[in-house]
Amino acid sequence: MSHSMYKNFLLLCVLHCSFYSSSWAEDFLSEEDLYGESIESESSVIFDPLERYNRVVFNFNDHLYNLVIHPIAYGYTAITPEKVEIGAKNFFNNLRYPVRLVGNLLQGKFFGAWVETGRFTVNSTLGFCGVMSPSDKIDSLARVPNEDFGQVLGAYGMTEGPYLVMPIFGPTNFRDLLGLVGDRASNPFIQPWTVMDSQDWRLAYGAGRAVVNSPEISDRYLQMKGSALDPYGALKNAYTQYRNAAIQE
Amino acid sequence: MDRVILIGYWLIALWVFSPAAISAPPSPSPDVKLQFVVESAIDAFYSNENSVLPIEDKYKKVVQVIESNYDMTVLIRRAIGRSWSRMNSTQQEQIVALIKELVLRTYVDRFTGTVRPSVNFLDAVEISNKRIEVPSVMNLEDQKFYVLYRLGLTRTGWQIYDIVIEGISIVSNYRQQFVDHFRRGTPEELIKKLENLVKEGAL
Repeated sequence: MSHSMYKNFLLLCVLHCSFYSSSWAEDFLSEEDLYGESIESESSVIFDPLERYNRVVFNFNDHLYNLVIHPIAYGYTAITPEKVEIGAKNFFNNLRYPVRLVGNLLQGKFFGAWVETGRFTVNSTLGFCGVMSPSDKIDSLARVPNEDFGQVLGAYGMTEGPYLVMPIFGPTNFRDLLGLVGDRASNPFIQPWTVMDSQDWRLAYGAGRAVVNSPEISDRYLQMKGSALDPYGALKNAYTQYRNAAIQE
Repeated sequence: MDRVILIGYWLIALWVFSPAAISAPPSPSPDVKLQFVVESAIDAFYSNENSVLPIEDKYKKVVQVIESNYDMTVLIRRAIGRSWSRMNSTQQEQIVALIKELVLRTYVDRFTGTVRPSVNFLDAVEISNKRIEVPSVMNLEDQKFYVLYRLGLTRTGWQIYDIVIEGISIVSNYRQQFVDHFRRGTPEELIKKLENLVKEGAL
């Protein structure tokens, strides 16, 4: 082979290699894409001007959860058959229908309102006052995301405001705290506008709901805490992300 | 004659250096591979042959399944964010190993029930030619979790760069904690904290 042919061949190889290596370089995420400054903007900055107060309440709640909620959850799951647990959860969930209905309507989610109404009707009748959930077997009544007043305010563009940790109730923010007023107003089983005249019944409703929900709360709290470097920061971030996702849904 | 040989060389060179000839044999699509890895990780706990193993052995199997398919450093480095550059390479290695253990132990902690969790994978969503998202629903006895896997095409293939559980991104969640830590703390303190956490959460 002549000298010029070798030269041509080498030139071709070099051109070819450089062409494909440059095209491959664009075919995967660069270091900048993966780890650059842009990813910092992906995490939301949470407004927490009351951090010192919040941390004190968080520590109080942590002790409360360890000393009261976890033992209640443990005792409840230990003595309650699983089917009864599920039935009780369904029952209380069914009673919150008015809150979800109003939440859907105020956001213009008429399909959600329709599904919630259908589920409530079916579960309250065929499901023995909501203890069973036969609506799960009806495709057109498949579960829709829960809606509440905090989400309504978020959907109308209200910002979350300062992050807050409430004694016993745990994490919230100014918007969700305001939303809680709406939730209470539309829930016929708690004050201010309640259908239950007797204080004892209202207490029984509140305590029953707390006990029934305690295993799930306890489980999620322990799960979060077990893998957290800073449980306060982890819960703050998780709560904010969870609520933002619920609003965008 | 020389010209004919020259054209021949050009054609051979074009074929030899064409992407089709150079690229590796076809591998499964990233979402199919992800499904396989998730199912294999669950099998490490629930398959007939593994269900009788001690929990530590099950954990080792899960680690083996995940590490042989994905490089978790991508996810962890993203979680650490800009604080990564504040650590030397030894600290980086230590921290990656500790977080890996912490995250995986938390993941396997979910597999405590007697009923095998089932996972329904939904259609993958292509964000770009280098990023996809794979939504899934994990059914754990009476609980349902919506889990979104974010995958990116890196130099080492498709890697998981974030996992979003019920709307909560674990990368963002850990990044918040690292940012808070590095406001006052040092890498040495972080390592100490992580070591304690891993010890506390030992299986």
